[in-house]
Amino acid sequence: MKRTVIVTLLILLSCSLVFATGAKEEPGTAAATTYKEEVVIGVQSRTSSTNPTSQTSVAHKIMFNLTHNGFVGYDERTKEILPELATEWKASSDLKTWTFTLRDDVYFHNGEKLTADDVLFTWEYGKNASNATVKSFWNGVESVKAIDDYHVELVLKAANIDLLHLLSNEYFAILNREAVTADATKGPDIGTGPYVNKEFFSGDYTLLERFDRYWGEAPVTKTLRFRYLPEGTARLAALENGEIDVCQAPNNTELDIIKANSDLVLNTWQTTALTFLALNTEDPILSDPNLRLAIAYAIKVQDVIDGAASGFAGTANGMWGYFQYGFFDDWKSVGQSSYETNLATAKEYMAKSKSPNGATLKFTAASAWTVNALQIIQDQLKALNITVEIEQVDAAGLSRKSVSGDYQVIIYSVTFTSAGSDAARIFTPGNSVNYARYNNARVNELFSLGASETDDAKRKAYYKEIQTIVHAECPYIPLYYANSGVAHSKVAEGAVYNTSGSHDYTYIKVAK
Amino acid sequence: MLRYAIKRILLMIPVIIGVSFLIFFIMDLAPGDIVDIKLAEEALTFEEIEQLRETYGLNGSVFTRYFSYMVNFVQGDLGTSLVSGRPVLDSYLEKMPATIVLACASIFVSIMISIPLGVYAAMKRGTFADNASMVFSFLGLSIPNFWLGLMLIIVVALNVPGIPTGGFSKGIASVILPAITVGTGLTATLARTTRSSMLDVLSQDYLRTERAKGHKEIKVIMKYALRNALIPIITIAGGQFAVTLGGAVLTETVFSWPGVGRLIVDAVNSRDVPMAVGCIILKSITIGIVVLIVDLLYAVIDPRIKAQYGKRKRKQA
Repeated sequence: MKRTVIVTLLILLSCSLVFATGAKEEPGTAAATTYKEEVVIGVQSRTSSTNPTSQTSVAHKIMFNLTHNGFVGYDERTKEILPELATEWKASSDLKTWTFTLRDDVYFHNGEKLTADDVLFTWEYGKNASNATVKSFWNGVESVKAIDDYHVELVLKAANIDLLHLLSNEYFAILNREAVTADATKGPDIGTGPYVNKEFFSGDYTLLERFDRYWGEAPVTKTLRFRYLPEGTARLAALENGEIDVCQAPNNTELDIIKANSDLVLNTWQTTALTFLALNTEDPILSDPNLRLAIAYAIKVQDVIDGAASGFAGTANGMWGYFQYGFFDDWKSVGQSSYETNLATAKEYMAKSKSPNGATLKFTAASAWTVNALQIIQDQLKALNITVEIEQVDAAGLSRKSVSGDYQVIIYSVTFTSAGSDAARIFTPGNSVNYARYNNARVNELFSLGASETDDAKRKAYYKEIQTIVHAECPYIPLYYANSGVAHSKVAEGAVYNTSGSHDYTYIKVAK
Repeated sequence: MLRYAIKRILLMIPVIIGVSFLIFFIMDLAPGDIVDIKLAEEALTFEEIEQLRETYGLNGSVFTRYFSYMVNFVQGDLGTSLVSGRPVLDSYLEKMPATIVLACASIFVSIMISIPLGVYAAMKRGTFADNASMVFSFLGLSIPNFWLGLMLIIVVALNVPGIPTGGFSKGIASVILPAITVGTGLTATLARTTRSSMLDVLSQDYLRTERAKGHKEIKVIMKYALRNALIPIITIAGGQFAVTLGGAVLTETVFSWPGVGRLIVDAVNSRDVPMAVGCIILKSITIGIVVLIVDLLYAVIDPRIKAQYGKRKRKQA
């Protein structure tokens, strides 16, 4: 009897052990995974507003993407325009009249249903927006007509083939008439996005809460907290510490710490921010293209990258975004060569220039790392007998100089959008970011032709010609695209990290 | 005493006018304005730039703008931020709790280190312990705040559970590291002041009398010597507290502490004139009030000063 009891107990024990082992789920299986209610994202840049029509920076776009929607979205990886509040669109042959069909199942965070009247209101509101880019865009729209509740017609003052690209920017989000009329300050915070603005403490954090009547697929995470952690080392420590789940833009010099930590995942990429030298083409000395080309060929960009960006950057091979529509860099096919260091070529151009014996130039920068870059260039240009004087000002000072034309060479960065026409702002006269004060009648004409051209091949040909002209005249010297990245805990998934820095956290989830 | 306090408060008016005038003009002299900052992010036509300057009221002379600012200020309107569009007073008050917490905690850390250190150094005057104490206190002053802050994050926050790397929303634990960072920086001056003040007091005859009465040395030091040495210590600590209330920019940056220091620096960098001028005026008022409170505290600590206030009152009567 005693033996039977012992044997029975042993069998039961064995069974329980087997079942206990069997009950253990493999990590990652859907049934076993539960997710944190709150995901915390550590960000480098401060946000100052929750109103999408007030700010255009990448840090703000990340938030607005979560709280608001526009007509369309944009997938950076596939380079496709995606439907958002508009399901269909149609342009007239002159590209001036655009008709959009709106979704009929969209609610704002205040419970109001989206109708064409909200688009009409957004246009009226946008024409007086505090942000000049937003204001300028909506003032470029001649009229907005609500055909019925779900059809709306936009008539532009000038043809624009890239209208959908423009509209995919988060700052052109659709606002709700009732919300803004009731509360002019907080009304614009109300959008149709998957998350609602819950708390905003500038300089500390922004808290977003899931919107249960969101028209798209519901996010898993209940709240998203964006913590402002400006110091890179502290931001990474917060990730290692488990205080945050995602660390945006870790210091490049600390990437090895992340790689060595098996609990963390690192994503890095070349950004879309192009750092370049702008040579003032209205300056008596620098109006000479031969001198500009001599400088371009004398600069060893890799040394600049090593010195100013600690080696974490990719060389730029043209003043047109590598990700941008119409990008061209096959210089040999058009009888040109890229601006790779070639001292012999540089000296040839120098000899042909109006300053064959050398020149003294003032280079202006606004930050410590750009001053580092200029110091390296200063040394390299000694080979051409060019003396470089470096002047450092702050961001506002540099901007003031660039607008007034009170400079010879400045070092700057610009982030292009994917639209080809976006490059017009640095090459055509009359606007503030044409840092080289460049003006070429043919280039202006080609941009104008490109904006109204529906034939893909023809438009690409226009853009190729622009790049060829600009490369030969050298108003700008492209330097590099800095690297950036995101580190996150290995149990975080679902976020979409874009090279522009405008990441999509809608479907981020972190396993408990 | 009330009369004295009112007089001191009235004296703050010319200080405010002077400070606001100075800041307004310095910001006007600096190259660039808020429109230039916006241009760094946005592509605008030159017509739009002019319109924007008109909108922000930047086209008038600096005197006109200053006068119009002060007219609004007298009516209690500190203006609206050109960046966020929020009232300056709201933004400042929003940051004040974090600043007050950090200032109080930092002064607490500073006092907890410096006073025992200063007293000990004075008692052991001329010995190795005296020199070592002063070297230790100077370390706090010599080590850059941002470096100490980062080291504390790496060494403490990453190894001690419950100590966060920064932020203000994590409760009392979040103030520990920033307070140590700021507090140790304040230690050197306060410890040296404590030491020299104690040395003055320790050589006085009344202490010999107290010792002769058979009091324990610790009681003699703490009750009779330290209390009489407190006036200069309070002056220094009060001044440090007032300055810390104006913000600790580097520490606030390292620990992502949402205080007024960063608010002011951000406002200056972005040429947000109403925010910068408004915050600096409020900071001056805060410092003025704290210094006044410190002065009034003298009377509480030292009966001789209290008696002086009373004497003046009687004379005037």
